[in-house]
Amino acid sequence: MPVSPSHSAPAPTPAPAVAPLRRRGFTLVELLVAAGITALLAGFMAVVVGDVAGYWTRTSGRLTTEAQARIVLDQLTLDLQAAQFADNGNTWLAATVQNATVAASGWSATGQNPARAKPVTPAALSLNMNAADFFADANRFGVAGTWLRFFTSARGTNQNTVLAPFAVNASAPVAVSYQIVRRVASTSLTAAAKRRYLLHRSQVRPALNGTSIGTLEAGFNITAAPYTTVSTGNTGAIGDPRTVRAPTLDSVIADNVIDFGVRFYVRDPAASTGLRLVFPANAAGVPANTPLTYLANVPPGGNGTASFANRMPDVVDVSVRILTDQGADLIDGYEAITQRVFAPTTPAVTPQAYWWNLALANSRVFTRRIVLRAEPL
Amino acid sequence: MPLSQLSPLNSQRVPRPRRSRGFALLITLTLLAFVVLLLVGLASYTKIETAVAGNFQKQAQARQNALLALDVALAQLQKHAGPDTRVTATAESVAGVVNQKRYYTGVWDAKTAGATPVWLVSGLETATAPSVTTAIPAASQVTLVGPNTDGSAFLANGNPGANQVVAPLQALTSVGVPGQAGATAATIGRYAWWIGDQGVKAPVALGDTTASVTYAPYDSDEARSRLLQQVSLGAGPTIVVPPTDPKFPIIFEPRAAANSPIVRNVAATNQLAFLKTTTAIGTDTVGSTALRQNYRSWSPNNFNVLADTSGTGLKRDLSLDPSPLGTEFTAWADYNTYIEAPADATSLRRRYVMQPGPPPVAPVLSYFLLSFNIRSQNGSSATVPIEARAFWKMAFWNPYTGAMVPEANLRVEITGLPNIRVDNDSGGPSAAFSLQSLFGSPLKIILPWVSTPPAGEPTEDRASWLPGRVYNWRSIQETSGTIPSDGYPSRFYSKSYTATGESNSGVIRSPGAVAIDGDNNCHIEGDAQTIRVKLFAVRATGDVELATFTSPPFDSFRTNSRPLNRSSTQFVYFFRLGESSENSAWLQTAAADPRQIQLVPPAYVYGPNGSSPAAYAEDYEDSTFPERLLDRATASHTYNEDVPVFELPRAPLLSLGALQHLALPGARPFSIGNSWGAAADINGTPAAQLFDQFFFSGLTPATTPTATGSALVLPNPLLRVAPRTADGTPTTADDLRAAPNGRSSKLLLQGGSFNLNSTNAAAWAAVLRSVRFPSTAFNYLDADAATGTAADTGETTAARQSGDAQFFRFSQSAQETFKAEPGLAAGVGNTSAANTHLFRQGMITLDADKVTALATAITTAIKTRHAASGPYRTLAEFLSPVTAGGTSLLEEAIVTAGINDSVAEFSSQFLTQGDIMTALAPVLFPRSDTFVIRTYGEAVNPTTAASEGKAWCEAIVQRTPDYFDPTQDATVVPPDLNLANQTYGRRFKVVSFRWLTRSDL
Repeated sequence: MPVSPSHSAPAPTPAPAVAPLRRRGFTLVELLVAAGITALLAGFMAVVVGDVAGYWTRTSGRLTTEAQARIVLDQLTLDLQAAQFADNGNTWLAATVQNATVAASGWSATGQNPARAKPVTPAALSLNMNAADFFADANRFGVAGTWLRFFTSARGTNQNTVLAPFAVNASAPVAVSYQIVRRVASTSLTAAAKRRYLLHRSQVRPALNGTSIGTLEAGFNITAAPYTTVSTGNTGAIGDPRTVRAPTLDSVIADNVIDFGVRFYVRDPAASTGLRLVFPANAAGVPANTPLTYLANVPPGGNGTASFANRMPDVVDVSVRILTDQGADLIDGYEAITQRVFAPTTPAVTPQAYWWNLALANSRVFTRRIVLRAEPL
Repeated sequence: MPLSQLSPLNSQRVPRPRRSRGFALLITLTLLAFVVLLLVGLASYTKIETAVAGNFQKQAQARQNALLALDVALAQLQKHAGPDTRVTATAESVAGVVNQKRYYTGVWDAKTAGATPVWLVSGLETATAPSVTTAIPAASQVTLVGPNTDGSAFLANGNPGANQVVAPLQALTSVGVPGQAGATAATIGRYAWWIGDQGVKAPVALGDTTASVTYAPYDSDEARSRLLQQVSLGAGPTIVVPPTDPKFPIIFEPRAAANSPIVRNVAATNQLAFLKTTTAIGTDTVGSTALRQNYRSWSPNNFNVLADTSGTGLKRDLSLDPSPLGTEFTAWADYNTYIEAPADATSLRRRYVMQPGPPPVAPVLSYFLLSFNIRSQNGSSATVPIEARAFWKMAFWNPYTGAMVPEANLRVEITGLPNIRVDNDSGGPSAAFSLQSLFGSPLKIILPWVSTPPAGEPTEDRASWLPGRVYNWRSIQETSGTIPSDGYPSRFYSKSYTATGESNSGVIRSPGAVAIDGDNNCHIEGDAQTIRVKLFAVRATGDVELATFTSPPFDSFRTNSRPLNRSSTQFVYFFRLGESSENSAWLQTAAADPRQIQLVPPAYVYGPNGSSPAAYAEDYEDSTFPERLLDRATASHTYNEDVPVFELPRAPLLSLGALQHLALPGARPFSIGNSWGAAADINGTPAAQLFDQFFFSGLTPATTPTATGSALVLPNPLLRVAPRTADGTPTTADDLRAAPNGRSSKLLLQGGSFNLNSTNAAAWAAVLRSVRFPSTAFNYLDADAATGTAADTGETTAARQSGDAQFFRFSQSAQETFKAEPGLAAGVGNTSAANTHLFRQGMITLDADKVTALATAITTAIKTRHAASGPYRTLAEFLSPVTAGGTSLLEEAIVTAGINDSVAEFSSQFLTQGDIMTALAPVLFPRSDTFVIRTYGEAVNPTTAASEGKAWCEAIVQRTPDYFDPTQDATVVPPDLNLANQTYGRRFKVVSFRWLTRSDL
């Protein structure tokens, strides 16, 4: 396009012939080269950013899960090292592999398609504890992990202030309970609120506070009614014995805990390792899917029979499987799928198995071996 | 540059590519910055997380060091306190002790007097044994018992207060630590530990568990309730608020209804704060403030292995095997062989069948009067044959707190009557003859029992020979002239020779044909004699000789001269039991035990006129002595005149202290448990040593205990039966019975135990309150004042409820004799020696002031002893006289506290060491077997030496009967032990464990 002179300036020297062409555009080759370089650069940048972001995600996930695991395992260590037992016929420690979700515990099934949840069928297989799998990383403890409850001595304070009643904060024997409950991690209970797998540690107050009973009043039998049912002075509020079964939201110790399990051992000179697995195991001490509940009401030394059943363990292995934040979102999203057509699939893998595979791929397992310090008199 | 290139058009066009390139660069830089930011952020995040993880790791390391300290402490405890022959005490009384070391626990070798103690604190495991008299440098110590434990305050300069406990820090070093040269050892951590003696604290969280004892012979509420009075069932807590309070008031009562549902769940010290108060202290619970202030006085419970610190091994169970104490004791303890089976098990009354023994169960001759009148026949003034008239009065006393089954007829046979000569001072004939031959050789007298109530007393109980009661008989007229083969008759329960409408000229016999003028003045001479009275039970199966009572020797005598026709008596053989009015040391001297089957002087004393029968002339017949303890009234119709002194078993014995009622031949009464009997021989064992070597489980052959929960409950509920035997099977009564040599103690621990070497006055005060009735009342027979006691059936009871300390002399039977009113004997308000209520009640009550005084006196004396020669090494040493011929520490303390100042008589109100031991013998030990271990662990940066992690933990450890090397049975005696068990003794267990926070200390 010609350009008109805009003033009476000396006639301009004609521009070189190529200049208008450069101004008009690029050749196709140039465009292609430029686009290619741009794409290459963008791709490179995308890879770099993506890698960094992924590294961030993985690292932060690792750090987050490790931090969660440290808290959980340290607390379990403190609690189990101080676990109490008396040979009086009472059950002082109990563990139940929860083979079904328990509404009474506060479990929320909202937004959870049962078909796309932690494997529940066949029932026995919800505890993945066959001997062949014992040392695998894929051990699975029921639909809702293990419900572990026992008596221990709380770390508290001897200081007594108005704000911290001694009956609540004393360092004294208390009942504690560990269990996973899928629920909203806040007091906002909208349907849209995200449900998370939260590991709770309920601690019953040491003694009566006002009209609310504590461990001293509920007694030292962890399977006794006060620890599972509502009663006078035991409504399920924070610190009530009832919270052993139905923990309050305040007792969450870690989130995104997709699995929680224990293995109990008693000392057995006849065993090659010196320890005999008593739970989850069959009567022969072989890892097994049944029984799902273990009640410790026999001292570690046994009851004069060959049976190792119901003995208070000497050693406890604990494990927690913690989802990364990304994994938690994936699980949440997968559980929310109600239409089959939207569900990702893997050939020959059931939706529940897919759920589990998803959890395996986006979680880490942390374990610790804890030696109980006290012996029954 | 061409001008055209400077045109606006050009200027617009030319920068475009530049902007495009700049944009890309900007984008690139932005992205790079973003990436860098991500990386930096991630690095920071990672660094923070790593630091956090490092902190966790350091904290974990500190915890491991604390656990290491626990293991070291446990090993040292095992090494030094594991053997039986060790005693423990705190360092409080050591001369020059550093304040913060006063509560170190020392262990002494009990086999060596004056042995040097080892102190159970960190450093003991090193080459240099800890000392309690040298302070620890501030940089090398750590406080393990601080203000949040015991309520004490740090000093203004931040140093530990005087009551706190510090322990020396021990370094954990390692070579090869990065940053350290070569083999240089760097400190990577530190630890400290301290072992506290729980046994010196009072076990205050023990409720009333007697309801669990439901089997025979405790299968009634009444029988069960008596368990509360026989042995300690847990201390009665007192409180020290403020610490300078001159006495220890009661703050909470574990047996109160408000506490009974929860006290059984109390296993940790802190839980004591949750018990309900009995006063307004705090709000409604004990609270942490009071808990801290009493940290050194209270323990929830203590257990002791039933073992002998003198080295004879486990204590032997006399309930299972009484033979070590000989046949006399075996027979005495086997009460079922001589007690009458009660018609009603709920009855308060028990009756015993008279027998010569062993053990002898018989009434005791308390008063004997046999008077004679030698006169002319019928008192004639003519010359007629002379005749001898005899009159007698006798009283027999039931010295026991249980009733005796009355025999339809008792018979006495009297020997020792004199040969007399009637000298005629008027010159006429004289006569000589033997009174013994005249009235029979022996002189036999039937003492009948009349069960029907007397006229005017229709409800009086004559179905039984009541506890402590004196019954009497007197002669009635008998003129048959022949000596009855069964004995002369007599009248029951009368002290007057005549009753309404009765004529009583006595028992008249004529010595022969010598005739003397009745108006002649004569005197009578008799030879010296000693009267012996044998008592028989007249039974269809044959008479049973029960006892023989011997008078003091009577002088030969000569009566005044007087006309022979006079009918008043001229001479009398009169003696009586030398009880309180004659002998202020009644029951306090050897050979005066009235239960002896052969009772001789000095048990008996003469009447008020001395040893000459002639001194009791002219119808002397005094038989009522209001100032005396026995034989006070004309007829003892009221329980206020009953004087029970000794107890016979009526249930399985539970305390060695109850053996104070065991009669020992030739020994002073109440020998066992009191200092005067410390050396008395019991089948080869000095009495005081019984307390070290034996115990009572109550598991007699007739007792079959049942289980509550998973464990057997023995008659003494504080004896904890191991739930299982060594092979894990539940412990049965047969397991206990099968223990060799009666050492059922292999499966037992004594709960509620207390280390007698405790120097804590509040703890002693609480332990002294071990027997009390704060919630379950003491029910006793509500005797009727007018008639004596209620009948055997249909008894009514009265209740007495008190949280004060009670010490029982009659620990099994006080119910039957408790009711008594003071002053009836000698006037209201007059604590005369003859006030029988002092004897009758069977228990003494000490209020808070007296308990405080006694506890203070005890601990003061113990501290003195500790400072001089260390702790008591055995119970025998504790119960024996401090100096030869003197009294024991407890007896000195009783005197110092003035407990018996207002009690002039050695009655059941006169508190003795034996009474204290009746309550406390099962729970007193010269050592502790329950300890608390507190440890500290610290992670140290080896480069900076900075502390990077701290942890505290606490464990309660318990010595058990099992040996360290379990291949040897717990019953093996020390000489037969292998080296490991000789060295390490019996095994300690960690029975509870907890992590502490700084705010727990």
